[in-house]
Amino acid sequence: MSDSNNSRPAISGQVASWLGVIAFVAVAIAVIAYAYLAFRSHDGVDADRRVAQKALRADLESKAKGKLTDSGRNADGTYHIPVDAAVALIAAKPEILAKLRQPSTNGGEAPPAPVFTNGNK
Amino acid sequence: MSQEHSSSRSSVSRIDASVSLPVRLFIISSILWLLVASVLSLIVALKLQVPSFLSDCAWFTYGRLEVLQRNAFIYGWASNALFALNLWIMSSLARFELKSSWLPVLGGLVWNLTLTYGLIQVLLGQLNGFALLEMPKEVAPAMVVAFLFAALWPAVAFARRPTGNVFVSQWYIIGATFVFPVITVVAQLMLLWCPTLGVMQALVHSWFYQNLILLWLGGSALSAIYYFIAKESGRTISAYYLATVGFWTYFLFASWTGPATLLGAPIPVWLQSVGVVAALMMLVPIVITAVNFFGTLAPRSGIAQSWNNTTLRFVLVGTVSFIVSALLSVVFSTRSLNALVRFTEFTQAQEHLAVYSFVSMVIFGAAYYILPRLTGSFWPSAKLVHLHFWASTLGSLLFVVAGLNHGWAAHGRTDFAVSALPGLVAAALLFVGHFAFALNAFGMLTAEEAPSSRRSY
Repeated sequence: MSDSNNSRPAISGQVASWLGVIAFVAVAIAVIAYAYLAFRSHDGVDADRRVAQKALRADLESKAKGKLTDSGRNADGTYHIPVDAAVALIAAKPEILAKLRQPSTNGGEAPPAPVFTNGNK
Repeated sequence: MSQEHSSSRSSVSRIDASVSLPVRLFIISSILWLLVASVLSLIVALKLQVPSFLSDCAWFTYGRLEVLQRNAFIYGWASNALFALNLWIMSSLARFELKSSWLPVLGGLVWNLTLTYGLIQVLLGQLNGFALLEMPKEVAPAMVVAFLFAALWPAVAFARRPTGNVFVSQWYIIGATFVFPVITVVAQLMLLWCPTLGVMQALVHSWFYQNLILLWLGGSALSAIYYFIAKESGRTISAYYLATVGFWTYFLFASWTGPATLLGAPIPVWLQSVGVVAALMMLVPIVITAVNFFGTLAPRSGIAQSWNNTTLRFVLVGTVSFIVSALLSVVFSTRSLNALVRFTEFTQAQEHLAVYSFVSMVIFGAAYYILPRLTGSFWPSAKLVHLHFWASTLGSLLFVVAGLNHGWAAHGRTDFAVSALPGLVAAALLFVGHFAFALNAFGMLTAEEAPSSRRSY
């Protein structure tokens, strides 16, 4: 067995250089990808904040709806509730305002205003 | 002296032989893709003129065919050809004999098969909304791996060069080689795999697009211009000391020009300004490359002599196109002028000037130089060479004019159908030119090698 056979590398020099270049590119890509994904986790923070805001709005809405009790119901279908509760209700779900503006079903035209009466008076 | 000369020639011949297989594969693939893209370009141009043409089948709708044509041209024709070009130039400059040619061949095969699969998916309607990233996202990993196999060998050649001397072409090849995998992976990641939100997508896409065109395609083509101008004219590059500045400023500013293509878009104004400043700063590498190229060719009737040299003639057209295209980009990146053209076909004309008139013409010129050295044969027909040159040059010029005309049409100044006609004629001219080139190239590649004619071109 000759020495030259023993000293022959398993991977030729060119292929070893090529693997080195690939490793260099792979490291560069990995660093950039890691930096992006780490930065992108801030999007998760934003998403959490959006979820918290959504939960807060739902909570406000349910509390405000709690003010619409039978005892506060007027004869024409509107409610009289405190102004701050009305504001909270509208802020939580503006659609409620439109819903409450719908004409009454007694055949006549619904009065355009007021939707809420000042319950503080 | 003669012995040394003979030894040098023998060495060059061995180098050519060592890269012959992968370079042939890349060139053959690129020519086939060029023919596909040419036919598609003709159909697309025809559909602009006659919208009902092939409109009954969803496969042949304008949206899919246009995407198909663009991807076949960039990834099929230009990228394959640049694999060959970069490998051959770098091997020659670095005196590199490729021993594991099966690796780039394998990479080339995977690249082309993946591209074929991706384009079939596009034809079936599975496409994304980002230009040059339209193919399904599962295609990208395979293409990046194929690129690593096929196109990193110039970097290996550079790393193993026997001397410490570095020529400017080598810088551009190395830069372009590393740009492609990085921008592709980052863009794929940020647009398709883990997409960013909102306007960031447009920013990332503009960054990817500009880098692909200017750095991967443009950088590789610039390396070829430096190589062939010096080689074929037998002159040293004029003001060579400026080339370093040109290289670094080109790679620095070109990669920042993306936001300049988004002027008027709902992105922060400061980002748009960064793009505009980068686009204006591109004047530095443009002036330097112009000084390098024309300073080398212009003295002692060099340009007239270049006209009689097939390679230099194509390279010269490519060089002029590069300068014009880059200057147009600078001028029309200013806000007031950009507002006039931003939604017109003018931008298409600019892109055509960069991708075809600049990059493709340089590739053609390089092919006319490289193929005889690989095959040991002459080009079969000089008439086909002339036909190719004039059809490509005139077709390209007409395409740019057609783009401007389209822009005017979009502003309601002319009838749209009328303005589409020059584009159709240009596409037909380009098809004729490409067919002539393919006929000549395949005639040469399939011809028997004539030992006596070797190196007598």
